[in-house]
Order: sequence, then structure tokens, then C-alpha cells
Amino acid sequence: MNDATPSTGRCRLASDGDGLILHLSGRWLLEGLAALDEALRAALGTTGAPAGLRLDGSELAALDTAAALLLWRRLGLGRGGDLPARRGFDPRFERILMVVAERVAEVEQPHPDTSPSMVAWLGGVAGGVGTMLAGHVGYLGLTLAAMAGNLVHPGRMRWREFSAQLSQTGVTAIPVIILVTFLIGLIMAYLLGQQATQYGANIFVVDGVALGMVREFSPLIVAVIVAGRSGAAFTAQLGTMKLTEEIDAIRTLGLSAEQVLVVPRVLGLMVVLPLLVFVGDVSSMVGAMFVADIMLDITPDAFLDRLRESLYLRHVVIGLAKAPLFALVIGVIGCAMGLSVSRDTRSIGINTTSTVVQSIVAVILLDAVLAVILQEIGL
Amino acid sequence: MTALPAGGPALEALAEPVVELTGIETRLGGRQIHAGVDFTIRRGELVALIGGSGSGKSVLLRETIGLLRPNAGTVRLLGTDVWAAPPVELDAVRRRFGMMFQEGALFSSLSVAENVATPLREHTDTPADQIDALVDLRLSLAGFPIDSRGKLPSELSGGMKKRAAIARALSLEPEILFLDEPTSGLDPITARAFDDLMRFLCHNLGITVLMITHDLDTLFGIAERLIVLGEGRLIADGTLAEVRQVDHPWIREYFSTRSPDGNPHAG
Repeated sequence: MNDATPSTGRCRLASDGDGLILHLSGRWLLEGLAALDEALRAALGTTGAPAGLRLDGSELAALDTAAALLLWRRLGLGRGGDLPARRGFDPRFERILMVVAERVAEVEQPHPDTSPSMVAWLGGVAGGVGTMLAGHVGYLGLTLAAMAGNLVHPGRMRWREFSAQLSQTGVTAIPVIILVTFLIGLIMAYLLGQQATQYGANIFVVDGVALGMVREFSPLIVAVIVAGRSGAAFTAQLGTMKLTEEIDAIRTLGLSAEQVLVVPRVLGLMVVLPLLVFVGDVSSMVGAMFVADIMLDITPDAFLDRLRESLYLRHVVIGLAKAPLFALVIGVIGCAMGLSVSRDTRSIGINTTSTVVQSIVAVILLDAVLAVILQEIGL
Repeated sequence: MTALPAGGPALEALAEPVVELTGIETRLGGRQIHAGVDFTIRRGELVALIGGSGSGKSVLLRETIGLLRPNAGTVRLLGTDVWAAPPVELDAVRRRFGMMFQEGALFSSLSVAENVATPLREHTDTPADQIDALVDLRLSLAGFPIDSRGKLPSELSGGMKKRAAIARALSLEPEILFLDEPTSGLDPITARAFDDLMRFLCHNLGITVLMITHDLDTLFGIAERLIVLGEGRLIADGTLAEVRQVDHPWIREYFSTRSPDGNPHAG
């Protein structure tokens, strides 16, 4: 094994008075496996081992299990062949040959194909989505019930956890919310302005940006950011706690995981999201005002005057009122996915990704439904 | 330091050293873990590293295999100075030993077969059909049922995870096998099967084995040499019988539950 001469393994078929002998020489090791395979094929031909073949290992310098396996497979040992007679092998190599020979039949067993068919896969995915949706609806109910329980017994509320969540999901999100909504406000004013200047209708840019941002885009964009930040964090946090059996410990201590972990998170998010939407409203107006001043000759004073005339309070309220609904959806999905992590690290990553995708899709779907309903009732 | 005894009778005494630790010192978080640890392991030995909790066994193992740099001292693995060798040389040495981590550390997104095949795919140009056969051989050597080769690590019991981890460690025909608590968390029957497996790998395949263990049955059953770590240095090194002669409070307490023949005291 530790010879200094790095000669690759060779083999040679010879015959003496009693029959054929395969002489093995050099180093028969894993790293030269492809060359050894070629050498064996060259020596034995395609027909495999001739009957009564014997092996000679007196010139063998090194042998490992990989090379032994190759030798036995090429000699057909796994397919009912007899163990050839051997001579001249070092006891170490003889042991390795025997160890591998005992296992070669098992190794040669074909593996049954276990990959499912396309139809089965599709059915599995569809079934999985159905179960997951049902699970989410169930978990929504569980969370609301736990919240209602808190209304009846306010003493059970985990205020410390709740305030920590306000800080983590709210305060620390402010910079990114300001930046993104400022830029979106800026872009919308710029694009609308390009059209409006052609008709001399510069001042109506204010109407368009204000209505669009405050009623639709600000809640939507803030919800998407929060889904990516906090929804994913909920899944990762709760998933890790599930993995380390902390969730089980909480339940074993007679506490409710919903009460201790889920309610503070979901409730915190429901309080924080309208506030963040309001930050987004203001920040996007500032962005629009910036573009209006430079590009459209609308001074900040004129912008604010027009804003006061055109933006009705109900639009602002509708925008802010959507936020707690979005927060409820994001929080419940994030927590449910975290608690449904199975006992391996891989599923934390899968569930976290899934949380973000589900939350964003759910928020946009919910927004579309709300838009139709509000239109129908004339708001 | 590796001068061979002239005309030494035993083959073991002539075997070359494969692991050599000299003057290892470690400080972690302001605490002195090792204050000069030296030992040498020769090819073909089956060695158990024992010591109390916090005595730095796992840290020493991580330093030996090149995961954690000691504050002082040298580690020579298969003749290479682990902490002075250029990265290419260190990578070459890494292919010559296998490590089984305590919880298996199987790649959770890959099936057992893919886990075992990963080192072969990354480090050798073995053809695909031979990789398949080699994976099955490794699994069979480790006592892992081959028909479960397609399972994910999350679907396995603790003992099966450890077997799969040993199969992966065996993947590249290692000369040395390092094991971190191979029998911890296993039922006694499975644990004894692991003892047999380690002895088999050492005796039949000629692999040098260094394991960390707390399992007295393993020590009495298979360990040919014990290295005892305590107070930052070696407090004993030798066969089981030799170590039990050492007058040290920890060693006395450690073995106090067993009579000299290895059976638990009655009552």
C-alpha cells in the first residue's frame, strides 16, 4: 500500500501444464480503475473468464477493495462463477479478496427502479398542494382561536415576545421600506409624467401616483418585502426550533406553541404592517414630489395642494386596512410552514422558500379579490 | 522520534507512523484546552481516545484532520505536516483518510447512495457503472442494507445513519478512519455490531482506526490501545491493562464500575 514505485496495475494471461493463469502485477488501486478495467478486458476478451482459470498474485504490489471488486466482477463471480484458485498472494491482499468475494453477489443485484412515473409525480404534487392548503386554513383557524383566547385572558399574552417581534419585523424594516417605496414613487411619477406632458396635463400626475401608490402599490410592495423578510424568518426560526425539539419541549411543559410563539408573531406583524404601509405612502409621495419638481415644473407646494384636493381619505384608509389582512396571511403561512418542517435540515430551506412564494402569491390574490369587492360595493 | 527498534520482533513496532501529534497546545475562548499533547499512531493500530467531557477530544480530532488550527504544535498525517502543507498537498492527504462525524453529517439533500458516491465522483474518474458497484460494496462493508440505498438521510434511524456515514468515509479506500463516538446513541446490540465492524475494517482491510468513545464495552471489546486525555495532556497511553494500572483519580473513577475482567460489578 505504501510502495514508492507508482507503477499501475497490469495483468497477463499465461498457461502452464494445468491450464490458464492470470498473473496480476503492479498496483491495483481505485485511482487506476479505468486502466485496470481495460487491462482485464484485453487479457480476458469479451467472453469473460475461461473455466478453471487460476490467479497468481506474487508480483502484486498493492490491492484495495475497489480493484478487488472489479476483478471479481470481470471474472463473473457475482453471476454464479466459481471462486478461482489463487497462489502467491500476500495475506493482506488475500483477506481483501475474500471480503469482497463474499459481497460481490449482493453488489451485482440489479437495483429496482424506484423513480415514480410522470402521472404519479403530478398526482403527488397536486395532492401535496391540496393537503397544504387545507393545513393552512386549519392553522388560520387555530391561530385566530388562540388570539381570541388571549382576548378572554389578556394575562396569557407574551408581551415581551410581542414587543421583540414589533422591533424585529417593524423597526428594522423601515430603511428598506423607505428606499424601495421612494424609488417606486419616483418611477411612477416619471413614467406618468412622460405621458402627461404630451397633453399638458402635468398636474394630474399627482392624482395618478397618489391613488395608485396609496391604495394599491404601497400595501402590496410593503407586504412583499415583509413576506421575504419576516415570513421567511418565522419559518426558519420555528423550523429550527422544531428540529432541535424545542417545540416538543414547549408542548411537553403544558404550554401551547401557538400561544407562546405564533400569536406574538402574527399579532406583531398585524400591528406593524399598517404602520410600515403608512411609511411607504409618505416615502413614495416624497419620491413623486422629487420628480415632479425637477421634471414636471410642479413645485412641492403645488404638489401638496393638489394632493389635498385629489386624494380622498377613504383611499388611504382602504390601503392601510388591507395591511393587517396581508399580515395575517403572511404570519400564518410563515408559522405553519415553520411548524411543519420535518426532522431534517433540508426541509428548513425548502419550507422557507415555499413560505416566501406562497405569501407573495397569497397577498396578490387577496389584493385582487379585495379590489373587485371594493369596486362592487362602490368604494 | 520515529527511530525503529533495531531488529524489533513485532511487525506492529515496525509499522510506519500515520498520525503524529507533537506539542499540541490549544486555547479556545481564553481557556487552555491542550497544554502539550504528543502521541503517535502507527499503521494498522486500533486506538480509542478517551477523556472526560470537555477534555478536548473532539477538538484534538478536528485539529488532526485539518479543520481547526492548534495554537502551537505540529500534526503530521501520513507524513504531511497538516498545518504547514500547501493546500494542494493537504487536499491530497484528505483523500487518504475517512472521517465519521458523530451525527453522521450526511448530506441531507442526497440519497444514501449519492452520499457515498460523492467522493468517488469528485475525486476519481471512475466510470458510472463501477461507481454504482463500488457504492454497493461500501454499503455492504458498512452493514447498510443495499435495498435502502435510495433513501434520504431523514428517513433513516440513528444506527443506519452512522452506517451510511461509515460507508461514505470508506468511499475512497482510506488508510485511516477517524470516528467521533461511533456507538453513542445506539442500543447495545447495534453498538456491539459496530465494534465488530470496526475490528473487521482494521483487521481485514488494514485500515488504521482512531475513535473517540465513551463506551466501556467498546474499550473492553476491541480497543487495542487507549489514549487518555485529561487536564490538557495525556494522562495515560497503552493497552487497557496498562492504562488501568495508572494511578490517576479520573482513570480510577472511570473504570470503577468494572471488574478487571471487564464485567460490570454485581449489585
